[in-house]
Amino acid sequence: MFVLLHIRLIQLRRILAGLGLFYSLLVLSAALLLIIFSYFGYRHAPDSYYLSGGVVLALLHIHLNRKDKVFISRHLAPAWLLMSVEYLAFSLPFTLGMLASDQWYLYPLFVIAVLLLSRLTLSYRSKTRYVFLGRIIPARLYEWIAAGRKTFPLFILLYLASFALCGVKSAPLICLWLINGILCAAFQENESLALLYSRHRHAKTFLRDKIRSYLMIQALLFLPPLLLASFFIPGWIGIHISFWFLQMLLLACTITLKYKSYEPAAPSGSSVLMSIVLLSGIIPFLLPLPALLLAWSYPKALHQLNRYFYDYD
Amino acid sequence: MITINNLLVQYDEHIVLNYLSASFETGQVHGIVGLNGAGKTTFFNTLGGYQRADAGEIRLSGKKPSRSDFAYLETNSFFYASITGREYLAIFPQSNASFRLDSMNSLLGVPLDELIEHYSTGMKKKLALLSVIKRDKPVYIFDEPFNGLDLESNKVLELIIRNLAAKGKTIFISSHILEPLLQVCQQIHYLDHGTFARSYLQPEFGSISGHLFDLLGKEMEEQIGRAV
Repeated sequence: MFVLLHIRLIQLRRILAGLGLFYSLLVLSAALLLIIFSYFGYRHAPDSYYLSGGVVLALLHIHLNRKDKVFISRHLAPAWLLMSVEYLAFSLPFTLGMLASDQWYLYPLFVIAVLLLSRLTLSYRSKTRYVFLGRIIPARLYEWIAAGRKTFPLFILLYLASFALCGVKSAPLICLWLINGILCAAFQENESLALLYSRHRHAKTFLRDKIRSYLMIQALLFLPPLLLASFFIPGWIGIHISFWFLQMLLLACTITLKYKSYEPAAPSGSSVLMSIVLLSGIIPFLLPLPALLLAWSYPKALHQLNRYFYDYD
Repeated sequence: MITINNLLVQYDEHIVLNYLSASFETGQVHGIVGLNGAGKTTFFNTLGGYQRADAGEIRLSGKKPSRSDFAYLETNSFFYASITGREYLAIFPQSNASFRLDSMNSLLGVPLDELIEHYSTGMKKKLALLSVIKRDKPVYIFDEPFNGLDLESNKVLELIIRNLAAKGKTIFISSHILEPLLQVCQQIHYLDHGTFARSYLQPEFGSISGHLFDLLGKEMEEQIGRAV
């Protein structure tokens, strides 16, 4: 019953061990913050209903996307129960707040929903969509071709919304922040050495060009809605400039974090840090974090890349 | 001439390339054979600049080589998720002026506008092969290129290797199956415990199979003797 959970805990322990004490504490603090936020979210209906529904939808999305479902159902039994235990354990930062609030009665309903969704044997089937993205985005920016393809309708809807809502003070900023989240999430997979070496011979030029090209595309995307928003709300020009600067920092920081722990053709070892950096864009006291992490991780990324961009001795 | 002097590669305490020294004539097709764990892939990784050697040196025509001198088809190529085969190929700049993607792909039949995660093992191998041959390099390294390929693609690959050799390129190939190496190689080198134990020239190819199986048989007998 706890086999999967045991494996996940081993994986989590290894991730935390790889992060070191400071970042482990940061991750645990983020989990604690989630518990506190969810507690306040669950205090009143109908917010509590939306929050519970949101967590169930997120779990459903994870369940439909998980690639080990067939393996688990073939080799481990009962698969649905193992997966339910896993979901219930990892949703604790969201559900502990629910149990501690007056809306505790939602928890049994939540458990039933998890048990039901775990029995679903359906999976999303990926299709080749939006081939045109490869024609409008340069091939060397393949991370964003992939990100655009994975999230295309949502991506374009958010972008259109950032224009449509530019008369509403913070709405375009939220849309653009979400878009930046999609773009930053694209850096959670490490490329092979063949891709790393495809256009550059030195770590320094590689990293500089990578950051510069992505910042340029980001500016092309973000400046039109921000300019329009500044036209409608002139008093917010300073906020829009600061916001753009922050999004640039978030993106540059995500890229350097990726290469700080680069291992060829492996998932990024900095995924957790990247998520914290992205969240720092909306949590005021974490705002200096991307700048600090960028300054810290840039030389480390160069050092790590130099392990691969070495010359023949 | 590609000259390798005292190449040492080790992972922690485990020595994989054991002060390996060898010379390879340029413009020829060199087959590398050996048991699993003999060090074939580590040798290729080090030669191609994917792995740093702990000691020793590699010289290409007397000079220190650059990574850009090599095109390397890895045993298991990695492909970035959610991109199509055509987009993957576009990442690599084309330096081989005579490379025509459409003509080459009419022989290989890779569904270039499909997402790579939908490809079979053989299709992925062919896509990686296309990315290698679109680059013009003096040295090509093919690690287990015949794995997963169908009969027709095997033949295409043989022809590609012959074509590259005719252009004066130096080619290194490893394979678990001896037959294709006998067809395309001018020399076959037997790698054993991190060093080249023996090299065979083309006239000796008739006896190579017997020699290799004798060598491998002896080693297996020794191992079984130690284990049982």
